[in-house]
Amino acid sequence: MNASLFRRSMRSAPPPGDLTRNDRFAELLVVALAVAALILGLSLRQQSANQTWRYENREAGVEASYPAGWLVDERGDYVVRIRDPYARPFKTQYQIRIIPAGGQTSIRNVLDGLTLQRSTDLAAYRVFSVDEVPVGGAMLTQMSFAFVDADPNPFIQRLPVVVRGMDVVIRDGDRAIVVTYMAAEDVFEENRAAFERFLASLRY
Amino acid sequence: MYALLTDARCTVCGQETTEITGYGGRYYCPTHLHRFSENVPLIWRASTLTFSLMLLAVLGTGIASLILPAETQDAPRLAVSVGYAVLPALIWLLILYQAAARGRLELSPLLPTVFVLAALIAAAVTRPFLSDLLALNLWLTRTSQINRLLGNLLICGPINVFALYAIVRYTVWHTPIFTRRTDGILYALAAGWGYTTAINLMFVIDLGGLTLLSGSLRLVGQTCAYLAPSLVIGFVLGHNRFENLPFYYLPAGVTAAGVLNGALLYAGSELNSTRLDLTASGFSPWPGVVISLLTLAGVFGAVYGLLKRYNALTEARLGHR
Amino acid sequence: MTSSLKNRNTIRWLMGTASLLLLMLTATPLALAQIPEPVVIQRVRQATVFLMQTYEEAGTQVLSCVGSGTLISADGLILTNAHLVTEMGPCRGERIIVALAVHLDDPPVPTYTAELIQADTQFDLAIVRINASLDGSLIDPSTLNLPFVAIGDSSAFAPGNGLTFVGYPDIGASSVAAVQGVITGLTAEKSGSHLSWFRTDSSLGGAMSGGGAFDVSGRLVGVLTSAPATTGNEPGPMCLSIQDSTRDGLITERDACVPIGASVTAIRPIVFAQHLIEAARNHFHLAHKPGIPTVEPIAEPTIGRLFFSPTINDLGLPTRITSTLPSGANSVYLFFDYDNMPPGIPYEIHVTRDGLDMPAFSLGPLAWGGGRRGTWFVGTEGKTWPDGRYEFTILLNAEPVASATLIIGGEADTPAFIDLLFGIPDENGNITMPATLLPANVARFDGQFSYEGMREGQDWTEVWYLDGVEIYRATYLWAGEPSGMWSVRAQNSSGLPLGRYRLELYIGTRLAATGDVTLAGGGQTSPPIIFSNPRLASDISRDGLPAGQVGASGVVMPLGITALYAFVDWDLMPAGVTWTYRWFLDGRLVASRTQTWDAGGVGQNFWMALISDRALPEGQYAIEVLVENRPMFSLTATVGTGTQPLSGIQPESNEVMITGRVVDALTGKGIPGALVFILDVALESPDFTWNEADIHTQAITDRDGRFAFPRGLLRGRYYTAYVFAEGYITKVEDRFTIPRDQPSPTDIVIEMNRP
Repeated sequence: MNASLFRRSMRSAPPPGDLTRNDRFAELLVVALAVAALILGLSLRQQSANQTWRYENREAGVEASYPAGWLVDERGDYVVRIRDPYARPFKTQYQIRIIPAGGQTSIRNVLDGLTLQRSTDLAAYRVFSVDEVPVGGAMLTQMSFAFVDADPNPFIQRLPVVVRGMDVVIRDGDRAIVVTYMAAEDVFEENRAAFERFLASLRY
Repeated sequence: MYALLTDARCTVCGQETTEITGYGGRYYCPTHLHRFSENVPLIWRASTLTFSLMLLAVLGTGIASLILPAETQDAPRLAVSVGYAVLPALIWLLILYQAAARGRLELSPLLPTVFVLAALIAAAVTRPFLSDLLALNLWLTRTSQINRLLGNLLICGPINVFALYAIVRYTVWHTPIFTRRTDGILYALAAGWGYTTAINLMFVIDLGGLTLLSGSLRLVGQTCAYLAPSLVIGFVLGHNRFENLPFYYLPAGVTAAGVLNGALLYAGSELNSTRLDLTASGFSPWPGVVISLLTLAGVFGAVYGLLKRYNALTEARLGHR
Repeated sequence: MTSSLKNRNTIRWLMGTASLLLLMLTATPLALAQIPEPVVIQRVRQATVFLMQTYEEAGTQVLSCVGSGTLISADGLILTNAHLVTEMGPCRGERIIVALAVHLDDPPVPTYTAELIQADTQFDLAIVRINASLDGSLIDPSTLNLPFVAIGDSSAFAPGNGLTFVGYPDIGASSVAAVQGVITGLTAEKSGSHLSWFRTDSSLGGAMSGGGAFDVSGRLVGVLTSAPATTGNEPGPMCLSIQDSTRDGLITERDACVPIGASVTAIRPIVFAQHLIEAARNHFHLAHKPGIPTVEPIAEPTIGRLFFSPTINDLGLPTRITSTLPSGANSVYLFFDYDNMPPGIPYEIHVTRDGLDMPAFSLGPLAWGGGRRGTWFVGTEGKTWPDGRYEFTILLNAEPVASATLIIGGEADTPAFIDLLFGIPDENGNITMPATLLPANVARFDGQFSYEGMREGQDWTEVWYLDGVEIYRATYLWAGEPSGMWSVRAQNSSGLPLGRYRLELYIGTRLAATGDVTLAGGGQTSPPIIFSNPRLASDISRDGLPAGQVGASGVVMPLGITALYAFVDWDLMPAGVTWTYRWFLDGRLVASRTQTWDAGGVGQNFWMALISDRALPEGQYAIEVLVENRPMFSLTATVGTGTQPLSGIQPESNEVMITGRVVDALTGKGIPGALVFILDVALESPDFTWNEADIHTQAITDRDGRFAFPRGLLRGRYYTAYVFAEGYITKVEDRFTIPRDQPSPTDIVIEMNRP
């Protein structure tokens, strides 16, 4: 590379001829098109990422909007369990349970019952707090917990995962609707907003 | 030909001279009048050679992956992956600079600047924007096939291509260094090589090395996905520099480049999904890279042909020197 | 150089490179891949577990015994030796630990604990069931999906047949071994007659005891058996010190050693485990009326009166007592009396020929299961004994306690008394129904035998014992023919009392013939009538009387009952007699127990029960009772309509079990946490409602990207498969086909692509 040649040519040359109007319009149009495409793409992304499907269970009398593409399961000891098939290593999930709570049953009794059951089924189950939190204008009871999710199959070497969870209890006459959110500890907070939208969409 | 206008300056060097000649809405001094339509075969040859070597490397890697036992393929993975990420661009630059050293080509010092600038913008701006800020990959994997295509066309393509366009446009395009239509190809390819080198290198480092065959082919496919639109950008910028084309010409060309980039990025991964059953793993590395290579070859040929045609047309109109 | 010349050189260079690459492409690739292990062997190895018995001492878990076992069901049933999982012999255990071959090439990983479900100390076989994780958290067996083996048929095997022996060869430091071997012979024993043991000379480590012998299809046809002896607490090559049980900071001779024993040479044919397997699968267990507690004096075990016979008759009696056999002898039986034998004590018969060890003719060490006292025999058939002087030494817990000598290559002892049989003679004085069990209170019974080589004036002696006490002895001078038939008689006009009789016949001072016969029950012919008033009931009262639905043989019981009780009255049953009761369901033996009678000589309402943890399956039930291996009576009952087939050993299903790995297509690394599921058969992706009820089976990958579907897929069908992993393009395949000839299990690889 001839550096001296470079310096000579740049210093002595006058600036190139002015750009024409077409040049300037073209420049602006390129920028505008790029921005427009980006806006279009981002709105498509936003719409697609926030798409929801509606779950209805007339027998239990609940319905809610959940993220599109999640798997629904009604075969367990819950009304419904909705899981994110993509989440790794633990499938982020929402559960809705209906627990009889008539007569003198308090919300605390309901939560204690859940704790007793979970402590036999879930490894290292711990309850962290039970609080009253405002949700949609009402004060609801919320229980935070954690456990370790491990695969019992000894031939599958899944690392145990710390899972955080949150129960929100809604009193509805003589029953308690328990809405549970569970996610791996490292993504719990970032997915919490989606759960709150799910909770806000709940009708009973 | 156009009549002399007393306030016209050479569109290349800005010289005011009585011997200014107009062509296609722009004005040229005698020095630069016949220069902008010169063909520079070495630029094409350098690119052809580099692409051919890439193709041979792909074949050689494919054969090696068939012959070598699976266990021995782990050790050279990182080296081979880094090689695929970095070497093609370096070979291309080496060929050009060897020609320049022999006096057969004039290269501006801005050439490596454009290369490095493109790499830096890819590493520091566009890739973090797409991967981290927009978390685009996470969305693309969760959405439908059509949305993946649209995402690549509307987000990835525009951002990548705008970056490439801006690098060339706002560095060398409006300088006295840009003297030929072919310079558009030269500098756009330099930007493209720098951009794709950075993208590929970061991809390899993030994943800790790729498999001998699939990984190498993926890198080649990605390289094609950035070079093909670079050729288009280089062509439209080169053409637009030396003729006052309608205002939509450049945007159309950049848009076409954006669509090309988005489509090749989409095809490079989507086409590799094959049938899944008990004996087939649901993936083949070949369809994406074959399409990408064929597209690159097609765009290369088209751009070369068009540029040669326009240069010949210009020469015919200007008359031979 | 001109431009065209340069171009030609460039083209030549390119063409040369391309040609070289093409040459490499067409060259035969270097196939350096290893020949993979057959899938059958892999599956069998994976189903073989390492068992450890531990007990707690001063807060430390101390390892007492180790061995192998085989998973025979997906929900965690393991077949192994009884001495490994019961407090039998040197194994003192409170806890049974099950270690699995998580990776076939690595040592086993302790994973579960197990509980004893079924045990038969007579055959040293037991079944345990996995019941909890190591941390003590209980496991629902129905959630387990462990690899297991099918049960084969051992009756078709003979010397020369090939088998694969699988087990852990040492104290858990090695991976599970599969050794190809051959059956080199058969060993007979009193408990199991001719097919008591398969023998092998393969090199099988002592800790492989409890492991399995498999046929070419990977079916379990035998259980490797070896009960290591411990010479007190002294460690050595057969008893390894690997733990600081005394917690003194050192591993010394004072610390408990873990016996692993010498090489395994004996295999218990699977037929002896059938009843245990059926009982375990059907959640059956047996119970019977508790006996009269007796306190046995603590005494050293004794073994005596060793003698040889070339063969045995159908009643298990020696045909001819001799100390010499001619050349080419291929059948030898050793008889001996034993007393005060604790269950599970390691016993061994060590054979030498002219001072050299003969492992092919030796037996053990094995866990003793022949009861406290009696007469035992061990025989080898089908193997020619080379000429020589053989020394048979019986060892108990590695200590020699008795020995006898046999000469092969000489003349058999003459004169001789042959084929001594007992029975009640007919009017012609002939025994038409020889038996070892005759009715008590008969006036007489004979011991009949043939003789040869007797010369006039030869002195011979008959000695009679009743319950071990000599009651008659007489010496005669032979005055009959040199050969023929002779009888000796036991008689009492008031009736011979019940009990165990023994006859010994001597020629000179040499024991020439001997036999035992038991008198019990009533009647005039064999088999005697011991039991009466048999009936069945669905329940039992607190007083031990029939309750619930009661009826005679053929009764129909309602569905939902959890037990069947058989009641009998009994009379004239001497103590110490061996008796057996067996339960059958739809003709298949599902439970069996052999015991020594301890309920007294007479009584009512003796009960024997088949009990289940859940409702008894519908079907035809039968109970058979034997005394001294002679059938006494049987009863039948129908539960429900009796039309449902027994869910015992399942035929091989048409399902293919799928395991696999999900990997990143670009890096080759496994993707943890990926979800793989298969929709119900013939359901395609457009019809999928994203409801998990449509999912046939699913799995989540582990840290290496590995997964295993808990349910199989049917051959000849196609399914829809989905694979999800964050950061990768979802895979959907609507034609995930299972070929009709697809082997099971099948391992697949799924490569995921990044966008």
